[in-house]
Amino acid sequence: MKRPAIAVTGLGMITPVGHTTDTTWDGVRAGVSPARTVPELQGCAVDFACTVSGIDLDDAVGGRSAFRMGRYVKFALLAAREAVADAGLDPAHWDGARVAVVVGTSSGGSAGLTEQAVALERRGPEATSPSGILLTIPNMPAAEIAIAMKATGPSLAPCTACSSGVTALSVARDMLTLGQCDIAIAGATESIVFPVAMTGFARSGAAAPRDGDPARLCRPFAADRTGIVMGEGAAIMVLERADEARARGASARALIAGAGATTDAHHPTSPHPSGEVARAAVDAALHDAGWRAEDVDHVNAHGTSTPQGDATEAALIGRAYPHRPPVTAPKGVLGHCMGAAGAIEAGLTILTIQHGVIPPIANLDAPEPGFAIDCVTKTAREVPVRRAVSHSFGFGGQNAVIALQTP
Amino acid sequence: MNRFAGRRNRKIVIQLFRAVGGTGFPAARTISTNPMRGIAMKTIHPKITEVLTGTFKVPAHEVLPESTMDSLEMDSLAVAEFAVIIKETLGVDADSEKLYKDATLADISAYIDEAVGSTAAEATVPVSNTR
Repeated sequence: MKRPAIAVTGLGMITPVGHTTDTTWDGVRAGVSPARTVPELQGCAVDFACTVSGIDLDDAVGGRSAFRMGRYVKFALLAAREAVADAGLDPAHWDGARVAVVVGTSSGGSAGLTEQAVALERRGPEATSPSGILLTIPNMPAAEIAIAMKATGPSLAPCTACSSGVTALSVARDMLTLGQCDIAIAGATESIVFPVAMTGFARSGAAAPRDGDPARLCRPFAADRTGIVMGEGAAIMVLERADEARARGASARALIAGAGATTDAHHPTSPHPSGEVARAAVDAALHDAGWRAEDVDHVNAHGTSTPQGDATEAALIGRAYPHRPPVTAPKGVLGHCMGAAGAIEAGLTILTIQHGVIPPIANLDAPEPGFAIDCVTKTAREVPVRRAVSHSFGFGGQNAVIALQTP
Repeated sequence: MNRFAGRRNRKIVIQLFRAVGGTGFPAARTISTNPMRGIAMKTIHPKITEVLTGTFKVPAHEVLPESTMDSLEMDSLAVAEFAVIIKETLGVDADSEKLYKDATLADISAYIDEAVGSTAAEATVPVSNTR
């Protein structure tokens, strides 16, 4: 099937280093993690994270409806507003029936559900919120964006764990390709920095244990890496068929050239040691884009800082891209934003393409000996990037890869 | 025109439950609810102001004795949430649809005051007819 070119015409972000796309980009370029001790996690085995701070989310959301939204829903709505404005669109004037919303998440409203469970246990049913279900169900980011923007086309909430963001972008691209909509608001959001989730990650063995300054603990591809540092945030994009975007005078930030997805079908948390199924997702994305491996100028790696995950991905990158394109891993700065990570990293990959700048991997002097990859370390690297790939590999073995290029 | 004009002086019987003495058993009471009574008081219970401006981000200048939840664009879900917060913070239990949805803030203040039997200081706010 011949696909129409799909353009990213708008981008919005809210992350631990910025409340907008521009401030996030500045923070990621600087290569310094904001990870810190989180007072609400006092007593937890892992009591630190990268969090969105310095913003009153309810004030930013405005109106009367913030009370019914989980933190992750507010993130998504704020990022969506930025993306739509960035695209030069006005929901007051579009045909909402032709606007789709596809916003993924991994854990959805687990924080809201936990809060309600505590209220029920401690104070009884009358203490629970009438909005308790809305605070829980993971389709609410898409729903609240649709409500706010009068988008009455189809809406979806893909969940593929840490690949959810790339899955959402890929699904939205398919919907545009199939003519199911003319505009797609797509991306992902997450906020699970609360004791139950943090304890779960600690007990799973995936989280980096506290060892000194939290800001130094996420070290993707470093020999002494010890695990994930939690992050949170959202990235939302506006996607359109490129010719139609051009016709309305919009400028594209980038094109989605291809996407690929596979499932390890091996283990819930451990990647398949061969990495071949994840590699197949890379190959599928490259095939979809019509690229050869050597066409890839840059890889935005999943790079979680877990011992096994990074080793598997480093080997995959070495095999899939033997020409050694420069690699970055934003989780060193942002922590692991879970379901939102893929969308945030795709957004950062777009900014790399636009600016010709690859941000450094935080806390990394050099990759582990034996990793045959060209990691960008210490300072941002200025280099033209026309074609780039972003990897996402989720719990459950769900792999998603997106290929992005200059318009 | 006051939206309650047609119902002025009407007695609405409501069941207002309040936990008594920590026993967990509600005490049912019947309260006279003249919708105009609160406006005459020109007062709003400070908790109402706090919840509306804090949780629901209603601008303070819109929190007036004659305001209703409807006029403040508080939908039924928001009013139900408001009722839970009032219950949790003041111990006043009420059917949000019957008690809060159409009443003025002055009326609601009167209900709450009567329910808690409190003579706590109330915030006096100016009545505005300029909206």
